[in-house]
Amino acid sequence: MVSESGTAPRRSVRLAKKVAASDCLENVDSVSGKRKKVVGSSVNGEFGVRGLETRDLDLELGVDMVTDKEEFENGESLAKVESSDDMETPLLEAVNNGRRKRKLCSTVKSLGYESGERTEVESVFLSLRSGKKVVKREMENRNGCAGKSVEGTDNSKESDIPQSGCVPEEIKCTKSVASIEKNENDSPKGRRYSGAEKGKGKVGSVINGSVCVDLKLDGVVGLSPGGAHCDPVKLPKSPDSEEVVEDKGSIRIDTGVKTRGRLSKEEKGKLKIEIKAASSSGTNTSELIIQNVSDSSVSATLHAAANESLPGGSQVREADVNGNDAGRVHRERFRNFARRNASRFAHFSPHEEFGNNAPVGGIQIPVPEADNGLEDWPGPFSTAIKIINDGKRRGASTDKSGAVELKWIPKMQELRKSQKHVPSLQELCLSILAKNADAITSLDFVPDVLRHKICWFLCDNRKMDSHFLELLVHGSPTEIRVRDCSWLSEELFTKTFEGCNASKLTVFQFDQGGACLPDYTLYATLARSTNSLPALTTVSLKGAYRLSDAGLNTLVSAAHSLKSIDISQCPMLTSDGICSLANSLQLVLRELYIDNCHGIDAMSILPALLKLENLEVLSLAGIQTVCDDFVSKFVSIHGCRMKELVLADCIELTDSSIKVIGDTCSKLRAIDLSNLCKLTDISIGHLANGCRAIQMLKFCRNAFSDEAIAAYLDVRGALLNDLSLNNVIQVSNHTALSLARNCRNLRSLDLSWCRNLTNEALGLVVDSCSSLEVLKLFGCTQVTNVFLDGHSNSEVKLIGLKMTPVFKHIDVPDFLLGPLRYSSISV
Amino acid sequence: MKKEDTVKLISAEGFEFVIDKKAAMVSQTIRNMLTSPGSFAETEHGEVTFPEISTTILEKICQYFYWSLQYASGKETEFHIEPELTLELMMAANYLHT
Repeated sequence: MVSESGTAPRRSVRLAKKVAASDCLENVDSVSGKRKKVVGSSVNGEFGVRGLETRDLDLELGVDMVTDKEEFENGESLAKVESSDDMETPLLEAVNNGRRKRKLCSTVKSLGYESGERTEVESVFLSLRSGKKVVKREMENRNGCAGKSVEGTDNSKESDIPQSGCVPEEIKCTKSVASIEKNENDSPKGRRYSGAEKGKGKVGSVINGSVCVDLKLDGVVGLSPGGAHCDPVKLPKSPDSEEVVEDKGSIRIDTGVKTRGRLSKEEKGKLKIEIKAASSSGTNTSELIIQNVSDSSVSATLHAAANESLPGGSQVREADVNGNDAGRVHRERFRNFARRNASRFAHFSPHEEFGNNAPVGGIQIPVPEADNGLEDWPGPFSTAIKIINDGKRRGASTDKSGAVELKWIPKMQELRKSQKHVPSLQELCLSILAKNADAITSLDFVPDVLRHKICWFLCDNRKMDSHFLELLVHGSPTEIRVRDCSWLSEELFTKTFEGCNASKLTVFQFDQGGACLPDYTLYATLARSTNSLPALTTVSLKGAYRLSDAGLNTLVSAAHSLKSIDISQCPMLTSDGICSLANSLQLVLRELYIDNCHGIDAMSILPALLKLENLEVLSLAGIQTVCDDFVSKFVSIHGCRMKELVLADCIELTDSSIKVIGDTCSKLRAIDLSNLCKLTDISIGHLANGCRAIQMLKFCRNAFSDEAIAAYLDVRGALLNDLSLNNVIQVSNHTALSLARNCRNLRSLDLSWCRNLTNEALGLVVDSCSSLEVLKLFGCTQVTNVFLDGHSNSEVKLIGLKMTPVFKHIDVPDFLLGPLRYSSISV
Repeated sequence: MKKEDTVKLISAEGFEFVIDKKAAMVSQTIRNMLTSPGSFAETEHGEVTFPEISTTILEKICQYFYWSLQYASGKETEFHIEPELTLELMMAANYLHT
């Protein structure tokens, strides 16, 4: 019955608390006669505060509580409540004073109190922070609650309050004690349990010491001992035991789950033991609590408390407990509490954020092995990483900081001045052409490469217009590449392409043409008959937001030899469209790019993708439904042929996908793993051991370690042409050394946001990678002139530092490449 | 200009342009032709023919070579190109890898 915390919605702890507080507040008044259960759990899982709530001795209420529990979102709190209830009752009875108040700090999750929690909850919150406060509250409550924890409601009992023996005031718990105050309807005892905070998670109800402990044990056990004052438990056995049982269970769950397992078994065990001990010696029950409670002072207090009867919480009760002020005071306390705790909660715990997502389809997420695990694999990667780690250990043993040493001496630069970049004739011509495009009368005999270049720069300058488009379309063009068609309207498109002789058209790139490419314009122009595009090999319609499945279908039926299709960012396309595409192009399609097509569900298109017999490039960036299951099934059929896989932003992927890729994709030449935060070093190992031909590797915001990347480069760095380590923040000296040693063919390197790289490291890399043409260093504020002036690589272009043009990082594609990335058309 | 330091570039119409070797080396294509091991006829005679490049364009290209050397040595001026030549010039420059 206790709901697992796993199902609890994620909430900001701080807000939750506040909410809870307010919830409680609201409930307080609404509920009467209901015990207020406040379940407190430590925030951030550290808390072990679990106050037992003060419960009514009234069993009935206990039962109520049980039902209340179900309403709780947080199983933990439920558990608490329950347990506390059970435990409490007998004890409470015993305690007459009923001053125990258990404060439970609600955990982030648990704030769904439905039961009429009283305002005591507030006190609970407050008490989290300082024992004193808690105590206060307790005292007050005690006073006030002579049975009713609700400040407002409870008046009658006030008088009863503090009775010695009740002590447990844990009030002494200076550590945040979550105590729940429970109101008892009849009996004026609010017991207060203080739990140790900070992950001790013991419900430290100290009522006479034995109470909280009792939680784990039979309710009865804890109850009886405890002190002379304790009255015999009046709880009816049966319900009680049930509750107790439940409580036990719930408590366990509570503590276990609480902070995602922050409470160790042993803690729980400890609690149990302590409880037992407590039961054995009534008077020493307080000691039990003590052990559980982290705060030693608590224990001290407990001791003291146990043996004396505290004057109705005189010590702490400064605040007045009047019902009238209760509300105000509570709010005050909440505010104070929140103020104190806010910073603690302003803490992003990825674990809490993302939860323990169960692997889909039963694939087990492999537990990331320690370094030793990586080293024990067969394969070159493990050797490499062993070497690196040995070096690290050796270095560490000689008292170095553990960072490997890296020597690089900047050279004095007289060359700098003569390193001027002379603009090439092509560049000069291009700029003039781009400025005067309207004066161009004909593009006949101009090779496609140059047409593309001119068009590229025209689009950059926003000077692209229909005049130039007509020039491109004139005659019988073989390739048309316009990377930005946002300026084009439907009418112009139709007019221009109506008369177009597309019989020789091989490549048609018309990106960002959403406005001009609804289905009907295609029907009217390019796709006007079933074989109107006989030679079309490559088509790119990125961003065609009005293109639907029907339009796609028609296009495909007009172009039977289509080998590469890029329909990224087309939101109207659905899985059906892709399925029919796959049916038509089963034998010929080689490259499929469906980045960011959010209408497509990965698992639905999987059977269609499996049919594509010659697929070698698949790009699925941004499609969240791509999971490990999908990857492993896809790769098991096509892996042997795949040359490029783009899996950026498919955040559900884990190491098991990369393992499968490594095992089967031996011909893989390019892989993009940007933003896959669940991957660990194990993935790098798999890639290194399995994929021997990788030339383009893109990492971005992955959690890979310096040593793992360095080991990968040692094994496979010689082939790399293009490497991106953007925002892989652990990159440091090991990687730099490895780059310098191995990456002779590296042409483009992205080390943006790698702040652990020093000037020396970068200098070494740049001087050693002789083919390096482009180095991106966005966000590397640590780079100074020592590197900029000191490196001796004359060819490299540094992009992304201050005073360098930002747009250079947008790569002008190499137009000399053929229409297909990895094959020639004739194949 | 000594003979050993010069190369002759011949246009489609047969015009011959004699320029310094150093200037001609600005073009990657010409540099490869003249310096590659193996015996191109060009290497031996120091002559390169360009049947697709017209005279006006070839002349402009030679001017570019000298301008480029000048620029690299510090004197940065502007290289003016007549717009009507631009397209052809660009094609020639593409071919010559300059």
